[in-house]
Amino acid sequence: MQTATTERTEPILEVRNLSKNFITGSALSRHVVKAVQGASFKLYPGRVIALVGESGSGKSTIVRMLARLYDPSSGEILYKGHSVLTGKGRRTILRYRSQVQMIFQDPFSSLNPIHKVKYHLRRPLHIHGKVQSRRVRDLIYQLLRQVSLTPVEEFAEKYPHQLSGGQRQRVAIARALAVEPQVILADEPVSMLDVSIRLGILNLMAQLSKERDIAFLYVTHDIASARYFADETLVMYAGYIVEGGQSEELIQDPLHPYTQLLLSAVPDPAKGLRTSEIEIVGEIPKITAVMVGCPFAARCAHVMDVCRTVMPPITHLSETRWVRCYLYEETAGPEPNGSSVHVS
Amino acid sequence: MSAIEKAYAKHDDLSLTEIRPGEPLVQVRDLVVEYHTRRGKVRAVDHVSFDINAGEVVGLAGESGCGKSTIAHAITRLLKPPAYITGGQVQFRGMDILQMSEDNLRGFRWEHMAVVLQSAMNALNPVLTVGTQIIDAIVAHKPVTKGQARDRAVELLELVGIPTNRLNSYPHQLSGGMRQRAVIAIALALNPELIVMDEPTTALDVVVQKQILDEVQQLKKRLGFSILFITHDMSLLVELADRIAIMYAGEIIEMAPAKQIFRNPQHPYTTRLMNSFPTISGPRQELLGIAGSPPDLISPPSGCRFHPRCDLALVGRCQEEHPVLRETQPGHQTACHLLD
Repeated sequence: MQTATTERTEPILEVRNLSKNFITGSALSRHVVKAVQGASFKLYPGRVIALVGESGSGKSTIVRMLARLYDPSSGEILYKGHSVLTGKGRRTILRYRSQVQMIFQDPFSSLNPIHKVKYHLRRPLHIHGKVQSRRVRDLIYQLLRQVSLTPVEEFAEKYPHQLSGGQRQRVAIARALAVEPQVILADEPVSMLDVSIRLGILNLMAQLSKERDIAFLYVTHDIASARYFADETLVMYAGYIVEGGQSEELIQDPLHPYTQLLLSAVPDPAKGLRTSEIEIVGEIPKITAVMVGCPFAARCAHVMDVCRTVMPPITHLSETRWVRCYLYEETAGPEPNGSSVHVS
Repeated sequence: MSAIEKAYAKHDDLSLTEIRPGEPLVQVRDLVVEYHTRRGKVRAVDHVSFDINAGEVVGLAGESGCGKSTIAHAITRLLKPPAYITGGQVQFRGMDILQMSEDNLRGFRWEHMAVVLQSAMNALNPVLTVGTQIIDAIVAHKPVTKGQARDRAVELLELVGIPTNRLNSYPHQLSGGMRQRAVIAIALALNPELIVMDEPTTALDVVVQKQILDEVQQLKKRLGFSILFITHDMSLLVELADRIAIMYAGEIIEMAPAKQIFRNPQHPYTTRLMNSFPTISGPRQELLGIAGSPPDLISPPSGCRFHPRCDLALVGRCQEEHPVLRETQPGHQTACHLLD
């Protein structure tokens, strides 16, 4: 599933140092929630990047900024090398959205219950003016066929309540495909679905990514599905992306202490009874608090004084592998941390 | 025996038989639950039978709509119309829970059987402190003073790993994980013999889930209660449960010791379900999931209910004849014609 990474094309979508602060509370007690801080990554055609994190880690905020639903507090989003944040007009955003589409978590609320499937697929075609109206029906059928909702004539006439969760999510995918996007942002697209149909959706997205050269950003809390579906994985904790790399490499050899903790908590029947495990201490910090240093410092077994005062910079260990942790700063090579940290 | 110990002792005005560890604590026999809907009767649980032995963790796994939560609600007598128990028995130490009067139930619940439901956020009253809610649960069942109940509440918080100064916190001041621990503390308040846990960690993040399940296991070892653990996440059960029952469309289709069902699943549905989980170890291969979706129980498929989705289904037999759950290996029950 993994492709060679040495030869890369130009990134289609690039995020540079993206941050988002939310102001909460009343005029008298203002809090700043630093939801995302300094996120940088690149999406490439035909490749899937997973953004993995627990709830509140900021992963959905990143997706919403990329979908132009939130304006970033600082940082840049570049589409094919051009900033997408400068144009504010409806047409600019419309043009961007015809290239960058989104699939939401809940297929039960992302479709309008009073409209048939064909309406949901016709809307984007009209809004983005992609086709002449006499070809619309053919296109709708073609889209339904691509997401395996056959017989297409029947599915086009159905209402959302007549579909199962998996079928609804297929309609949502077809709707995203209608405008022939270059990038699809998928925010927890399978977490509301039954276990037995999740894979069908993941496999469909993987196939679309490869066949149509679409760049996917796959947001999930399930790191095992990231291993299955994504070429590359980014791990988020309390607003920061703390580690990134090829999915398989990152999951088999996690470097950041938080990634190690996360992986040790994933139920894995294949491993049987694990003998040594990482002890889980503390909870995710509230990101309203004034935070200095590494957000994981309070829970980290390897914490040093510097961790509590300054957020570690990015340390690149190879072309594709990086981590934000002082443990790896001086020895920019693999395995500097001793085997005791590793989950066995 | 001190006065307090006497107050907490189980007052058995119910005529329960004594049992030893390893003997069946609960025997569910031919349980049938129907929902009466406008479209007709839906049989959500169809002749389900299983035992929970003393000190045992039984896992009930299946997809949404398979009837697993309905079983939890039936056993705890929490079902409300339009759901009706239309058949079967749930024997708890020789007494049928389904026949208990409301009066008996009040004494029975919490004292002998407690329940932990999915969303901790809704299970706690938002306008009362956590302490008050634990104390209330104790005082409602035991002849103790509020002060004594408070001591017990502190003890319980320690037991589930909540700092005791949180006694005076309101639910919204606690994280989701803490709230779920508080609910577990309340469930443990009267030392029940059975705790029914219905997706207790589904709403929580994986790290918090791990923390809580580790604690539940330690508590179980210490206190010796049994657990009926209901979840859609099979991979959790392999670590947690002694025995696992797999449900499909209102029926148990396979039941066996946890390790055995994982190493040697027999029912095609179980095999495919296990192949539907990406894992973090092992070969990274393409997984297929299961084609189609679970049936509508208004009109369940004839014969084996899984046959429309089963690639091994036999023409004729699987479509017509309903397979019964029977022993296919020692201690391993399966309902599938292919194993004949």
